[in-house]
Amino acid sequence: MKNIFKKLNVIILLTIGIIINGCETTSLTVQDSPNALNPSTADVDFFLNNIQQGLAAFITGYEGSGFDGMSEFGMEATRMLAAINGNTYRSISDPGDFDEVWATAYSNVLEDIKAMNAVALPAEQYTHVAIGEIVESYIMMTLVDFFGDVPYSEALQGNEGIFNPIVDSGASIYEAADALLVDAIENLNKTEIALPTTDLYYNGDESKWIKAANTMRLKLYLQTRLVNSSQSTSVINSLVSGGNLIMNSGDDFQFQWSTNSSAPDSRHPYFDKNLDGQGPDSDFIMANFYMDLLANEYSEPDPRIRYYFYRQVGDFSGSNVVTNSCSTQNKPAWYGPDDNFCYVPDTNGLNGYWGWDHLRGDGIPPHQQFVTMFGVYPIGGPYDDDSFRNISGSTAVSEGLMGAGITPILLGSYTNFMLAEAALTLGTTGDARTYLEEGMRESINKVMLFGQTLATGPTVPTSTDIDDYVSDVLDIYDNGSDTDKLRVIVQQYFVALWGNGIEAYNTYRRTGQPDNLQPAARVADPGTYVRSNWYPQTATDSNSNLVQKADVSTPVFWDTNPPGFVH
Amino acid sequence: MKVKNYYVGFVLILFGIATALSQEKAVSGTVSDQAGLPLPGATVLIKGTATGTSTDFDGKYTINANQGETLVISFVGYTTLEVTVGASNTINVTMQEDTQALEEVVVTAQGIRREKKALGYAVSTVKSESIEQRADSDVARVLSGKVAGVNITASNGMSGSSTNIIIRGYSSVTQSNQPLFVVDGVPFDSGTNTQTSFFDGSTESSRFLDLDPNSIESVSVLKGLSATVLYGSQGRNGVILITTKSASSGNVTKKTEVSITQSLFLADAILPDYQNNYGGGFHQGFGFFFSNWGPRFDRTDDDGIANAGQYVGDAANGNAILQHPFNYIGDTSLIAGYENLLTQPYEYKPYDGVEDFFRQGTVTTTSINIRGGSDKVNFNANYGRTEDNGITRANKVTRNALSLGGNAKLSNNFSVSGVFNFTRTDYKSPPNIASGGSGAASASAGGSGVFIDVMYTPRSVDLTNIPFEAADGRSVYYRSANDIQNPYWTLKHAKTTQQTDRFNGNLSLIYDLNDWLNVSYRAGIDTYTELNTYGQDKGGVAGDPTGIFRTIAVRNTIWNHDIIFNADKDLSEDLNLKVILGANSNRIVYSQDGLESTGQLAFGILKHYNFTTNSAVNSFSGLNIAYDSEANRLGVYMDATLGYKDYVYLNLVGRNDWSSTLETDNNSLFYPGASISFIPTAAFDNLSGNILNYLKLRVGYGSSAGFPDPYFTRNVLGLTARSFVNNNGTVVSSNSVSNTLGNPNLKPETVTEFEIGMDSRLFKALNLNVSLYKKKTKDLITSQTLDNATGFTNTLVNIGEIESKGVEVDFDLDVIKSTQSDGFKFNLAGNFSANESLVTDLADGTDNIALTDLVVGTAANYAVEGRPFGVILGSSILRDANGDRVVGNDGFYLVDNSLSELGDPNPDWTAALIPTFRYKNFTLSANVQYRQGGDIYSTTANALLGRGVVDYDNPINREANYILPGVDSNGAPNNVAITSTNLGFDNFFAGSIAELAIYDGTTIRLQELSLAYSMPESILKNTPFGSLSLTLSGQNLWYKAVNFDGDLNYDTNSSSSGVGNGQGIDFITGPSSRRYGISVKASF
Repeated sequence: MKNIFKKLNVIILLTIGIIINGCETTSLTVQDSPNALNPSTADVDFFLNNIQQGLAAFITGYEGSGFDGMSEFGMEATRMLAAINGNTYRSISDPGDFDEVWATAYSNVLEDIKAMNAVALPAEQYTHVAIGEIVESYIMMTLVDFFGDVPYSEALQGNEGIFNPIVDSGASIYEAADALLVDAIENLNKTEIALPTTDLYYNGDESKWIKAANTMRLKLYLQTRLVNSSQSTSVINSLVSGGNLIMNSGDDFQFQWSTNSSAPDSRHPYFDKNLDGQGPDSDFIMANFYMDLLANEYSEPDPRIRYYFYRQVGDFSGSNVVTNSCSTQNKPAWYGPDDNFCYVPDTNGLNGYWGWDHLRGDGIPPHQQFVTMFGVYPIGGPYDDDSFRNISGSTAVSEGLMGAGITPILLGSYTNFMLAEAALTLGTTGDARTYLEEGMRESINKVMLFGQTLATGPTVPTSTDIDDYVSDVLDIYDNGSDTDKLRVIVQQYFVALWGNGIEAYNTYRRTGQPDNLQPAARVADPGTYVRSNWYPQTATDSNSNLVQKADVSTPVFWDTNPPGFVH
Repeated sequence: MKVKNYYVGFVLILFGIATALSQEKAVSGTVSDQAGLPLPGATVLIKGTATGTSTDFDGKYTINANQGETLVISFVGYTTLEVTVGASNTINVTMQEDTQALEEVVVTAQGIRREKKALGYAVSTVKSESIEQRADSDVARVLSGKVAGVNITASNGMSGSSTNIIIRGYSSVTQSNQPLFVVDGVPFDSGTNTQTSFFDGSTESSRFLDLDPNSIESVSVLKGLSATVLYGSQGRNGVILITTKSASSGNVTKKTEVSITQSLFLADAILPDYQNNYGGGFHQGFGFFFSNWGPRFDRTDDDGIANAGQYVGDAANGNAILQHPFNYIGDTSLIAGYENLLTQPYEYKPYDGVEDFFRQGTVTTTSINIRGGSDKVNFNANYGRTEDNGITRANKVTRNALSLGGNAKLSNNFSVSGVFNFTRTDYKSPPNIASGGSGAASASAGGSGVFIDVMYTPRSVDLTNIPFEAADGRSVYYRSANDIQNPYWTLKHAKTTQQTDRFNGNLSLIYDLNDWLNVSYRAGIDTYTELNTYGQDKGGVAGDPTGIFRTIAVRNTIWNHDIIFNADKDLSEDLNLKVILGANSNRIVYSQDGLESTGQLAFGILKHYNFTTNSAVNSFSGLNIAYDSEANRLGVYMDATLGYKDYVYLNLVGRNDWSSTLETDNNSLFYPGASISFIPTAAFDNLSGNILNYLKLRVGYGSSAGFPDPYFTRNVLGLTARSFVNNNGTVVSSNSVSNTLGNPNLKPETVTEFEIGMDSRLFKALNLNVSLYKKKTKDLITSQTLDNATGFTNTLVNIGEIESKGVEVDFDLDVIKSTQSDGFKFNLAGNFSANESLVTDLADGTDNIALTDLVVGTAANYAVEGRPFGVILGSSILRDANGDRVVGNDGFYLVDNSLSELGDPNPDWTAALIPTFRYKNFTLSANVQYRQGGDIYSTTANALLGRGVVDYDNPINREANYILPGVDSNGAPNNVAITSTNLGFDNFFAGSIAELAIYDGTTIRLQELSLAYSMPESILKNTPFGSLSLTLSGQNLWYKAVNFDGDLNYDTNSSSSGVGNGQGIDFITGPSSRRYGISVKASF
């Protein structure tokens, strides 16, 4: 027996020896992932880079994903782009369409702002903090604008165990957003230890960030003018007298994309989605209404039209029931005499603007080589010089500025149009007509400058063309009622907003202008206008305190306009 | 019969002991059955010693024994005999068939062999006859329908695609529910290394594809937890124990035997029956569209086709002639070189392009097995080669497997045994990607897919003859905008490959301390490298048009060490105690790395050097390609069985695990089990008779743990080295808080199971086994999707409870027995399983948890409190307060965007019948399966019907208008007329209403049919062959999903979500296949 245990000992020792040959086999302390960094190595500048890019993604989406950003939803609702998802407002979007915009806002950008501040504040990196505040303010305002009440006070506390954050009223979030902007300006005026190493918006110029913050306050107080006109008036007046607003393109708050096509694709996301091989994305079919607004609203075409749109065909000869199913249909009975159906007429001599009518939820026909595409502004596509090339194929990647477009957020022209509206409706400082003209000229200049490397030859508008156009618009303004004047201002704002559907959607619900938007194409009554949007699918599925809406007719807090005010 | 000796005998057989003692003499003889036929493989051993042998092919044995010693002769299914060695040197014995059959020995946990009657839990065994010579090279699919309680689902009909196995329902929400594979005693990684979400494509194989079914000796399926406690947390989903022929070499005779199997199988795609009345178009108008709602081919519909702009005249046969679609291609550079087609007539008629797109697959299998040995050393060598050319062109699996196993009895009571298997599996296929019926299902999906735009090709599209490649190699197809990648282009220019070199084996050392105690040490290794490539040439329409090539190398290694003390002692005349004490260390190291390139230079060459841009990020998933993980687990375990008088057995088991994937405070869990087996027919002599021959009652309780995958307890920080490149070329890097919230308090989940059962034999003809079980999982480790407003996307938490209960019945009835060995026999076997997995609790505030990646806007599987696991939730038709369907002003159904329960994907029950007829040397056998219920969200059905290529059972009258039954928003009956196209396309297909794509999955299926002939010995006598048999067999020969529209020929046994916790979700998975062929097996 003794002998047996002796041998046994040998085996046990041998076994244990093999098992524990190096503690890696039996180590139970390998919880740190080798595949990612430890949070303690966080870099304030790297966080800020992600925040800056996240803001652009929030507005214009990501490359190569189905997510198009907030702007596209606003453009569809305001006939800047065609709404093709359904025939009614109920189906203009699906809840799932908003998943990524919600994710980008909260778990990408805002969570990173929170994490950055935890490091940047003690380190006195006030400029970092201020930029974060401005971005947060813009995003929260926009979420309220699109969804109404959303989580804020209990948001971003997943690591404290709050998995079902309650929603806060839109008004309270707007208040908080204003406070962030005020604080941001304060922080920008402080002396910081170090400026951000990368500033993709203003290259480290704090004075421009201050202008952006002030202009954002202007936007905020114009937006709330229906619920608190006296406060809006006084704040806007103080902002005007402060003189620290974005008034010209040198101070424009915009994100500049590049031509870099891979690793990572840094081109304008709309460029990738429309000119990179698979043909135009059906989320970006041009709206007949908006093209008509530029082509035919006045007695000459808008000088920006060739920069905004690229026509692949010079006329509609390729149109038949196959390529354009409405071509054999009659104009719906509910359309007025001024509403165009199916085609954009060539009243001012420009033909071939091939788009889609509002809320026509038909399948997509094989029309890709005919439809009008994005031009050079703002996505960095081609300039329309009457060459009528088919740019829907895979070779389009080298068209125009090859994707080096911009995401316009707050431009000098926008400020002018906002001030024009404020002056007209609230009576704030300044002359609405002057702001209108300044806004138009500012926008036209910017657009033409943006495309000047591509725009050559006889199609480029001359200064006379521009002056004629401007005076034409001003004539209509001068001879109109207050409603007409507001319509002119907002129409011109809409034209200047190409690429930014957020302000268009807000302005339409705030002013009811332009009041001549194209009606729905399929049914006379497409249901109540989308006064706010469905909550995102994943959010309502996951958060028991966020209950999906019954429909899309609930206005947001600053929209006190009556039911049926917009259609 | 003495249990102890029986057991020891097996140990001896395994390790071939023959100890020479001086006074011995050689005793020899023949062991035969009642009919006088020799019994090869019977065990002969000397009682009370470790000395024994087994009979050879002719039932003969020789053993050295002393006069006065007792020989114990045993054979499965026969009563064990004891004979005292007398003066004679010859002892011939005749074995009596055991009326108490089923005293078979089965392999249980840790490779321990136990008599089945002593087990307090259910073990199902499948023998090599039911596995080898089959048309499918995937062992899991071969097992389909053969074991009650085991549910097997193929991803699709592609050879080598992954396979999902679920035993006794689901026990975890986000942890794997896949069983543990144990090959020759060592855990075998059976994982599916999915590189991207399923909607980006699911072509990766499950790694049990590396097992050659022809090399398998037997499969034991341990279903209940009381059976798997010894395997620890890895065994909680059941264990599939595979014994290869190489490892079972201990059973062989000393005569060297060579057997060769050669098979040839053919595979046919099972496609829908397409309608032949209407062609491409919309609203009865013709167009080179993607939908098939165009005019009639026979032109009786006011001759709609003649009104088309493309119409040029009539053919002699009366068909309309159209302009070739290339006349309308917008980008004319695509048709350079094909100008001659522009003037060629294009007949408007139904084309069989989809049928032509698939080919007849072939599967050839060669397997060679050599076994032999001497007194002290036995070996088995096996080589298998399988070449499986799938029904999809460019899909091929080639597998070469080599294995060698052997054992040797050393001096001083040491035995050593080992098995080494090497497998090389080459798999290639075009990429497959989830589709909702129009390109990729998910807008964020990354690439192209071979099936996505094929199945619903309009009838009037001549898929076969329209050129697919432009002069410069770009994809070209019939659509004017060329916005769909030609499926033939995908076949030629898009491909995935996976090349796996796998080595697994084990070495074990056993030392017999005395006649009742041994100690063994076993080291096992399972390691493989998997080289994955994904590529598409430039010029495609789907995916990166500049071309993409991605390579990912994976290395996975499992080290497993066990030390086991194994005691078996008779405590008294009536009491026997078997005890196993063991310790286990398991280490899994996984590592992958790779590169993705875009921007192809020379067309057609998929090599990284031929691309302009490299990246370390997988652009489909957005994740870094490189990934490493390690997980260590330590366990100690005990298993004690007390047997009383061969009719009561009490078994106690327990194991404690420590896992490195949790923080120290929570990383340990002890889980016990106990079971009792009682055999009344042995306990009470008068119970057993002609009616009841054998009865065993068993009751068991078991528990197990679930540990999470590594690295979920701590927060990490994301770093993107290249997140943006600005116009100056400056590279911008970024940090981001990880979207996954780490949970330091994560605990293991615990699973407990209570099982009762009965094994019986009745009328000397019927074996009937019944098991009932109830399984509960607590502290479910759950990947909870969070509202992003929390700042995070998901986190791993312990919430909720799942309860599964079910019943399993299997039976085996000799309907016609023959007294003659070549008489007509009819055996009917079968099984029945019903399982219900219910989510009994979710945390407060959590309404549901999605179980798979979501494709936004479609239905998916969820866990919902109080509902069956995996219920399908999605959008539905809006209903008013009265429950009426609400129709919009446009005459279309309105969608209700809140999540509604649409169906339960769990089948109510499944059953299989296996009739076997034997006459002379012929054996005819079948496997017929039935599945009751189990809903399926089928975009295949939805797209084929809604796009108008396949008719509904009650076809839509395309020349009529429809008014949808329902009410308008005011509650008045709907009166808006819509066209047939609106009905089929806009409402049923494109309406974003998931409810309309739900089908009941009840299916009847002829899974297997085989006819075998084995050459009679009388003929073989004068040949070198020991045996020769010929088998004709087929798999998946016929099925009918009774509640799907018949022309779809839809196969319910497929799942787009691949391996995981999704079920009943179909995103155009591709057709399944029918396989049939011939196989010859010969031994020398």
